[in-house]
Amino acid sequence: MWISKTFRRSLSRDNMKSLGWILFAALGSAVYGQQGGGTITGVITSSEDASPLIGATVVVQNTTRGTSCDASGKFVLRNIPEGSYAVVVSMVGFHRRVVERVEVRSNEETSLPIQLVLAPIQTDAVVVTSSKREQTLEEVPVSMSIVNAQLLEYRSTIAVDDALRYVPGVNVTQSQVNIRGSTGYSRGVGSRVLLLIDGLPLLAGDTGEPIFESIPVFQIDRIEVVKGAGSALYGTSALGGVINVLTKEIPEHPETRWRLYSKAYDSPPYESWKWSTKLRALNAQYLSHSERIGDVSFILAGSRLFDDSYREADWTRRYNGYAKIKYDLSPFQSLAVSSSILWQHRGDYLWWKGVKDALRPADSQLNFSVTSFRINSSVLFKHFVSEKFTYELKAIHYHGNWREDSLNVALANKSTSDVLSTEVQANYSLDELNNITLGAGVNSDNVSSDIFGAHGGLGGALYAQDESQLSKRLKATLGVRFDYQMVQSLPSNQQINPKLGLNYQADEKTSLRASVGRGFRAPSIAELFVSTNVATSAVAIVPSTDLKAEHSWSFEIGGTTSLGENALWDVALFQSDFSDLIEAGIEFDSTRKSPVIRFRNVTRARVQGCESNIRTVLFDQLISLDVNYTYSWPYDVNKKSVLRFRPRHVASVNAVASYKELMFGTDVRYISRVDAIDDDLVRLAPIIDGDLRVPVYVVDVRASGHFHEFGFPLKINFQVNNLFRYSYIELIGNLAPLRNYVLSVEGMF
Amino acid sequence: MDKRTYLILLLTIALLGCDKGISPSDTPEVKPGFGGTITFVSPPPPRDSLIQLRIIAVPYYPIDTVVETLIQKIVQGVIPFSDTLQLSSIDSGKTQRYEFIISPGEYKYVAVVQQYGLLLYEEWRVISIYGFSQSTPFPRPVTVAVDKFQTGIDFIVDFKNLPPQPFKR
Repeated sequence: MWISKTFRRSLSRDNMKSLGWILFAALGSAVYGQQGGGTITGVITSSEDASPLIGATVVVQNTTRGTSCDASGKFVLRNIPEGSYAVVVSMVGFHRRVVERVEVRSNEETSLPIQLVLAPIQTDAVVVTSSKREQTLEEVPVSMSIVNAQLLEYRSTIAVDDALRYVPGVNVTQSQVNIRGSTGYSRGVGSRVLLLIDGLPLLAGDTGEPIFESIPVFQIDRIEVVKGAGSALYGTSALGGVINVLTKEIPEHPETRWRLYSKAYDSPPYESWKWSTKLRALNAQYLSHSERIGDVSFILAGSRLFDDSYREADWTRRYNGYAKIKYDLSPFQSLAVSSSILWQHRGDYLWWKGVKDALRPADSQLNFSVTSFRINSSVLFKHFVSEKFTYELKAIHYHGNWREDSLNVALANKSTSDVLSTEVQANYSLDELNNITLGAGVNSDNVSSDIFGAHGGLGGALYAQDESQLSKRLKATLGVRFDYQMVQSLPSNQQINPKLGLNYQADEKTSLRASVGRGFRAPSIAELFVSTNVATSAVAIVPSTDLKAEHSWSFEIGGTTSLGENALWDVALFQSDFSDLIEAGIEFDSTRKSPVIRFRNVTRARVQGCESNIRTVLFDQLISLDVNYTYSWPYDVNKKSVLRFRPRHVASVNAVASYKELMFGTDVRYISRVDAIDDDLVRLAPIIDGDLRVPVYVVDVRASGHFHEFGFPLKINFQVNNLFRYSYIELIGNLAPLRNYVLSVEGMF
Repeated sequence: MDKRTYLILLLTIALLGCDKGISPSDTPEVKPGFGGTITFVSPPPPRDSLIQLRIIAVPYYPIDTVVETLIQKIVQGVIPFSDTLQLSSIDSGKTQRYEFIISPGEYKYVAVVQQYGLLLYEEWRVISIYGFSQSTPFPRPVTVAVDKFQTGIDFIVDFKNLPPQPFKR
């Protein structure tokens, strides 16, 4: 990492008190005891061929009760109080179905066989990120994309940032996510996209960057991507968009899942790139078990990943653990506690030695390594008070500790950070036409580092949102959020961020949307206080305590229309105006009488563009096709030049052919050559051949099959990534993975 | 778009992928620069005074006597400097190889420099000058030709007997 990292500090006593208070409050409000109730059972099948739908989700509306179907498509929902309910059944690739007036009686079993109808083009998927409550995708007034668990399995995804590469309008530079040109490459500090896990923020307390390795990929239900400023609901960092990773619900029935994943890197295409005679491979194993005992359900999971890498000194050793316990205090109240642990040791490959040695790092990096330990723990209490009123209490604590070691540099860098975020949120339906969301949050940060110093921060927020059905066809969403942020020893900072969204259902086939919203990003502790005398460059980095927050205004108009029965076209025009963007630059320090690197609010930028996504099925639904294209013009208003590390064209084509239990598919990605890079970094690092870059054309192919019908609860997936051995870089001096072969076997019992 | 358009689009992008992208031949076969060995003939100083070692190639002589000025010129790109050298192989009697890719031209003062303290703008010293010896107490220029990598630019570092220091204290 270009900015060297740092320190150690344990969870403060104040933070522990806050966490304890949330738990106590949640438990204290759970006044209901358990009541004897009825049971709903059933089998979910496809209307096409009556095959069981494994993993279909069944939820009793306005209660905490929900489950997913087992390998036979069966489900059981116990302890439902007497009454009449709506039961919602959903599964990717099928139309969502709401079964109204399901009668439940005490100590009786209500059987509910349900068939779902195939939806070649699905528009009724449920999302929660846009408005902090459940909505169907077509109701949302902003552009959103979903990556669901089936897609993650189909692509054998082992990293969240890899999954995001296929999302329209999203470009990933190493692990930094750029939504519609909002982010370039910020050298490992700050993020203009907010990462959430189950609706709670998950950005490192010191550098403010998303650590995707912390997320238990095997437990993901779906990833929702909101494009455009989202600070009116989510506060800082939601400048360019929000990525919300939602974990799976724990099924009612005992379930053990495992996956073996193996990747072999092909040999380099050029003799001078060959640096190892051994087969370079990545091997990973995943195991999880979930069970329900009475009113308590839990899931325990662990994984191990060893990656030799295709590059020298780029190895990774990683262990992840995950646990979630859900206690149904009553059918209308639940308490979930989850924790995710990461331990990782990896080589710290920064850039190549030169294009002739493109898979070797510069000599000085050969002995660098980074060891990190991160743990995030969250608590969520949910209460359905009535059909009209629900509220949630939630908290997350994120601890990070990393150390950078090297035999070449005398000083090791280390850092420890703790972030605690708490939130209370209430949703109230005034009537059928109005829905109000209110919330408040408090957060605190603590950082102790040899290069960032020891600093604490405190913040608070209040937000409100009203969704009104103005007419039969027109719906408006109006929201505003107030944020207060304070970092120790610096002046406090207040923000007010509004948003307005409109959704117009023109006819049965077409819906139109328009939105405007403001976003902000408070500078990270690293940007404010980083201070080094020893860095990989020869110039010291100095603190920038006068940094202000970055701001953006995002505008969008878009629409979705059906092109016949088998095609859906979504198109959007967007513009984002950014001000006070923080960038690191070299300047002459008159006090020190020498050049230094300092973060400054220097850039005003405008990103304009359009995005098109066509989903279609061809040849009697044998082939499904997704064609995405995003054009953006990222312009630096001050420098009158194109913004760095932003491609102008991003296109992808994803095709899947399904035949019985087999699937064959291809993903094709095109990213235009990046116009501008960080020339200072190339010159001062120095990075030999650092200015080399090309457009990206990557073709992946894959085949998968599952064997549940034959009595084997197995899924086998084989894929070839970068089929044509195209050599490209995502970041200066970093050759992207060469052709590689992946075999993944997954089972469930 | 009809089916044919989809297939054409898919095939076009797939065929573009047949281009090989970046290759080693994207830069001249021989990159201009120089290389050689650095031999350490005496025990190194304590670890906490070995922050980093680099090679600088100054196109003029005499060089600046104020470290800050020199660093400014490095930042401006006037004076090239190498990547950091391996600190793991500087024990007495050890030799390490280095390569320094720089623009063609004449460099009148080529030296190995050591940052010996945390003050980046002050605490540097020269530990070996190319061509300098008791009999020829001047730096020997190194000329880097276009498309030519010059070898044999060797240094001997004796921490107990450092060359004349250009920097004012």
